[in-house]
Amino acid sequence: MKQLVVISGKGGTGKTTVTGALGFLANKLVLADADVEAPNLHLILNPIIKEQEPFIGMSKAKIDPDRCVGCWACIDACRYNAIFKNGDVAKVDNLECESCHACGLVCKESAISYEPSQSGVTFNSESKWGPMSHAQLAMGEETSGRIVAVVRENAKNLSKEHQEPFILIDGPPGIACPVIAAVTGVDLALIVTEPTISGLSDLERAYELVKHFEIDTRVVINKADIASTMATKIREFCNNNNIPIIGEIPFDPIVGKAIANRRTVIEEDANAPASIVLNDIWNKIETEWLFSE
Amino acid sequence: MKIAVASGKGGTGKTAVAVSLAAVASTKSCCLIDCDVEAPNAAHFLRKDITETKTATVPIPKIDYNFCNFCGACGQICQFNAIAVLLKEVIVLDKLCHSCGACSIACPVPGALTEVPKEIGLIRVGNSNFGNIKVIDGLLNIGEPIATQLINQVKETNQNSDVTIIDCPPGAACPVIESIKGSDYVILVTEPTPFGAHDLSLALELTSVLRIPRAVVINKDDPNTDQEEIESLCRKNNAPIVLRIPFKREFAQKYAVGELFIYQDLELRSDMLTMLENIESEIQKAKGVVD
Repeated sequence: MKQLVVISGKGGTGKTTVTGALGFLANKLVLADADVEAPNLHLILNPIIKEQEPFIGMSKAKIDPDRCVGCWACIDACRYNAIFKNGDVAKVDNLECESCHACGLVCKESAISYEPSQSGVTFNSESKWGPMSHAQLAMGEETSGRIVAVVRENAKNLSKEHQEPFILIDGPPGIACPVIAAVTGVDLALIVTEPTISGLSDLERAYELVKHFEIDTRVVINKADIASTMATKIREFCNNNNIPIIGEIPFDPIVGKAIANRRTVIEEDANAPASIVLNDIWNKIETEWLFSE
Repeated sequence: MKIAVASGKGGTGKTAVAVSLAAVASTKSCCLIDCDVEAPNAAHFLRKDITETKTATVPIPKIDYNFCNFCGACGQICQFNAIAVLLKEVIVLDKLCHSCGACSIACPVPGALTEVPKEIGLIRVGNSNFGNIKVIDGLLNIGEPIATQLINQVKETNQNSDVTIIDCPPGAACPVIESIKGSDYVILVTEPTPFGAHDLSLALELTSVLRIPRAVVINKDDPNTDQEEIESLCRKNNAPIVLRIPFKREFAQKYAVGELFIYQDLELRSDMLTMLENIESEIQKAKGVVD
């Protein structure tokens, strides 16, 4: 099994665009969309859902108003301001409740119970190039990282089932829990950056994260020609840290057209400047990593 | 007034809009809070110096083996699997700890379990290059999984300003809710692409739960693109489109080097000021109704 994750630190640099194109070029693989909060990969790969499972999250507190005597001990115990006075009794704000169960410990009236709630859905789907694991978190939920872990696990199972060893993962933006869950245990990380001051500072953070997890890393500079001074700074950063840059994709209006037509850049126009670079990136990944020991 | 700038999708232009709003509002006392503690960027555009840096900490359990009798109560109550009680050892997995304090309540032996601070990141306060803007941001330590606690602490650092602009992180989970909470208004920034529309619909769902009035800004606007999906979403959700920022390569180039391209464009600046004034009067009207 060989797992490649595409991350960025900064949102909007082109992770999904690059992942979709690489998926098309790989032609036979397992895909995973680890951005469970705002997933986009399915919009250009158009997979058919084969199975879906509710993801049961944490158990949120529920207060029985008939048992509550209004002592407010639960309000004092709750560090998330998730319980409020509702007339004479206490009531839980579901959005704020972090399911820690501290309130139940202090309630002397046994008025508090805990109910598991569905906090998302996971999907096993079929794309034109192989099985795809993805999910959608319910809005505002906190179990993002846990659902990402399920998406990753499902991808591994699909890989074994279909005897398809290559797993390509579209990662979420940021560097916290969901990204950590997306990168742990992968064999290669591709950081997609853009030549902007924000792109560079977030590349530095994303790189620090993958370095922390000792993951082999490559960089792709997307929209590379929009700001040459910043592109130079990114190259300098990569050189200073021995991070190979495996492609510099020019800003290309074909990308917008491809997304608008709900397909990968290569399918939109295989001869466009962006497609040529993406092809080159895939060749490097295939020869230098996928087929090497 | 407090205005949050959010999106759902990353890279739509939240920071560009937030810093420009702060620049436009800076005739009054203004505070820009960057709640994207995983990948903060607002300071690149606005902050000229850092006047204060604080370490942010959260409490995590610490076991005193002089008192602990390994009863296991702390491990049993922890919903986050952050405590493992063995025969003669208690393992605290601090990265899983949510600092809820339940273990402290559950421990029956005085002195056996106390809470000690663990560093999770930094909070930085500074002044802007121009205008009367305080710029506050947070930087989560690499490897720390939870952003929400730091976001909460960054917001609490807020000075009392006439206008507070909150630059929110991308996504649709807890960190976004934490950033937006307490705001008088939310501006959702989107882009006219299927990704933008898809994620705008998630952001509209997310913000409707909070019952805070919202409006939509379309960034990188291109009249040649099909906008029907976004326009229909905004109509259905009663979220007016209040500003369209055209896609221009020169805007991207200025943004790339940390320049306030919206503020520098006189027409856009004027449109943004009008948008701000309209939001202010809407907030005042809503407060009037409540009072």
